[in-house]
Amino acid sequence: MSSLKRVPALSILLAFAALVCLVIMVFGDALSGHDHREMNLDLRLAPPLTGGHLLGTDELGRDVLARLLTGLRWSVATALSATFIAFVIGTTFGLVAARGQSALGGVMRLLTTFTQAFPPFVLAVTVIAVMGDAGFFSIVLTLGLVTWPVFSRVVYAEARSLFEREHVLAAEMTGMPAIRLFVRHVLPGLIPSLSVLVVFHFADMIVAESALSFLGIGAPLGAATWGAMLSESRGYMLSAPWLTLSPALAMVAIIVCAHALGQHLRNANR
Amino acid sequence: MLPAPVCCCVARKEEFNPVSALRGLRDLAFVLFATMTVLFFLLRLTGDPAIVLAGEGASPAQVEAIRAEYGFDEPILIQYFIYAGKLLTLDFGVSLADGTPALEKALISFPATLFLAFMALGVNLMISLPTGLWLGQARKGVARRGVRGLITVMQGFPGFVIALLMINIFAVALEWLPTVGFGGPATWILPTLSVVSFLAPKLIRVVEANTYAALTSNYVRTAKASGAPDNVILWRHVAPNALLGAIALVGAEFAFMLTGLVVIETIFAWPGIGWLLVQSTLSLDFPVVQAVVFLMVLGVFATNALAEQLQATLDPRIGNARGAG
Amino acid sequence: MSQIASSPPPSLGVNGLRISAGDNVLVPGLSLTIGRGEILGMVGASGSGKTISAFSLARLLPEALTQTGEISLEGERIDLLSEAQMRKVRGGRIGMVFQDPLSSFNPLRTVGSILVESICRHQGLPASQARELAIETLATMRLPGRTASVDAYPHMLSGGQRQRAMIGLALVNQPALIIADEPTTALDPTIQLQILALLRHQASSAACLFITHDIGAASAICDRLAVMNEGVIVEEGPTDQLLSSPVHPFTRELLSHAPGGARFR
Repeated sequence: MSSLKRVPALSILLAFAALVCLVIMVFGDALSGHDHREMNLDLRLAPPLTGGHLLGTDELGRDVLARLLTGLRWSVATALSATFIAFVIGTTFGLVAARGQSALGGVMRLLTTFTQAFPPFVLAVTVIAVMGDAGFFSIVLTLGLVTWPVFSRVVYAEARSLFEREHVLAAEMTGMPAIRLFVRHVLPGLIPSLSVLVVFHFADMIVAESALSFLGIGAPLGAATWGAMLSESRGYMLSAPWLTLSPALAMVAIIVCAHALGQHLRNANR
Repeated sequence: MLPAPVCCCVARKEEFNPVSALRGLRDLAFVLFATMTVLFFLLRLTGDPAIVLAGEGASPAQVEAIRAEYGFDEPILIQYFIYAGKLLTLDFGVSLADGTPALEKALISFPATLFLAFMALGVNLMISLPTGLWLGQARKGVARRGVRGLITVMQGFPGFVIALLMINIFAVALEWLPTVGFGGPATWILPTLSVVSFLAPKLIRVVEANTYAALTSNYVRTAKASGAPDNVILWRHVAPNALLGAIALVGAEFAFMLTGLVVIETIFAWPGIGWLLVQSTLSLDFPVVQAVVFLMVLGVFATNALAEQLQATLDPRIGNARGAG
Repeated sequence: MSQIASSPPPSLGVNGLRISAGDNVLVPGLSLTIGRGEILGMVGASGSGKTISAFSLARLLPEALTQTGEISLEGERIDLLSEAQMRKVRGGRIGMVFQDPLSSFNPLRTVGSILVESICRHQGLPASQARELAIETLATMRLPGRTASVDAYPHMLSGGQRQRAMIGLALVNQPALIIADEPTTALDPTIQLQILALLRHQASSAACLFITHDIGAASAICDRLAVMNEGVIVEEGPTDQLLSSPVHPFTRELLSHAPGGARFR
């Protein structure tokens, strides 16, 4: 972890960002002093810093900051859950395939091509439609189901080489049960690259979820998500630019922090 | 030393290999089959197109009539076999929205996406390759650090966010460029730049890493030991190796563009295949969705095959597996 | 140090060579000479400073390291040359052979093209003549086929063949000094002797500095040996003498670990 000593500023910044995130996740729009659903029709499209609204109000008089914070909760929650699902499915699949015969390797390759060729949008929309308007769960499950190959590819490749390492072979020969083999010997070897992957995947999920809610898919109608906020702001680009800038910059901030963390982890692995 | 292995090593690079081509076609057929099957059942699960076609306030009898007319009342497996059979003759039926042949509708929209993809590819290469080469030559330096920081920030912007911001600034505020549509060159700028903005950072990073790896490699050391000046080293030894390693990413990015420009096309009302996909999926226009997905799979496969062939042609290590080595 | 009693200056003269990485001094002060046609073996364990000393002779150290001290090539002070002048020396008057021939050749270029590049640069020949010379050189290195080898890519050749090509590259412009850094370490033992013999035979009129940790290989072809430890030459002398009656304890240590080497004299 010597790289931490060399870049203390970065670590402090990231820790701070994570803390802010946590606080927002817990307290939500209460931090802004307004309820995100509260409409103040007398104060529509108010610019930032008017009437106690730090970031202004939108076309229905709702406090932008409150909606922003609510949107963060939604984005982080969906992205984390989607990453979790993709991680679980992908890692399991990758481990099983790595353990099994090489025929499974061929299946994996085809599955990977299949996932790459199958337009994720179609898959996402149809899965969401199949599950009705369950909102959170449909989005999370969809994103997880569409992106798990990212994990399985990496796990498959790395686990295969790990399984051939001496200490694993030795443990196997002592008759260790498969699960213990995985947990004690294989998983620790996977942790470095998996942790990097998890962080970058999380960032990608933030983007994917907001892209979908931008198009009006998945999130309940009228919900305060960043994608929805961006979509609604299109009509007011000139008159109320803060409506576009707030969710845009918030999204960028989270993504840049996630990327920085991922890069940091990658450097620490070397 | 044995002369025989060397002689066959130095044979001509393998010409077009029919066996691997057949294998590729087999994979393509399999993926197409799997995709179209999954698609069929998935779509049928999402909703009843008969209801959508009948429109609001239609009576159950009217819905039934439509169902019978389109064959939606048959058992699902029968429907599937009819569908599969038609697919083999490339008959995708007609659009449920306006009755035009589905495949035709999809084919008409494809060029717009291809056009955007090629433009983005060109601009991406023009920007990323030189930048990556430049960045990889030195770790330190104020200018390089600044550019790297800029790239990091750019990577934080999702493509559609950049699109919105650019529309905000250039089309709405400054009114330099049109906001939407596909017309003359002025309409090409913002969509292309939006796409390039999220493709370029990754490519720059890869080229940079490859450049640095080449510069610190042993073969560059050999070149230096032979007295090669810096520009010869850069252009004759570093650049070819660095760029070769980027081909895979360029191919993957192009394949992505064929299927993933959905949001960008929607924002700019760019009449491409992604935009058509959104429309037809949301309106449950199954035949068109099926035709679109079919074309997308073909496109992705073709892109991958081309990228692989390019690599095999340019890299002497591929394809010439026979070596005394 | 043994002196060559005739009037032409030694091919290589080093006086007070000092190499440091920042404040860390790796080689405090190295001095040696190599005469025409002489092969000096620099033997020592990894990290003893032999490789960086060798690289410093061609001024090819990585940026992090600095070097000072006199280096004379055929009586001319090359440590005083500008970088542009030095580039004319490298490959032309100093030839280098590296340890790992696979990674030392550009995988995207034929072995012949690398030779031609060096020939054109240092001898100014037109391309067709350069190619002829490359073919000749590789044939002299006992690489099979004439155009077959010249047009081969590195991955097509065996390890031994690649190393022959590398030696060919080092010798093609008839340098005054050859620096060979562990040239046989990465090769099969059966091939090692052949390569050593080739090096000895072909480098006959040049001075050669042969770096290795394998004292057996060194004793096979070197006229004199210099034993290095922690950046300092602890003992130096004719090979026979060093092998039969080593003085320094470190030399004895090295010898005790080495298998006996055959002699190619």
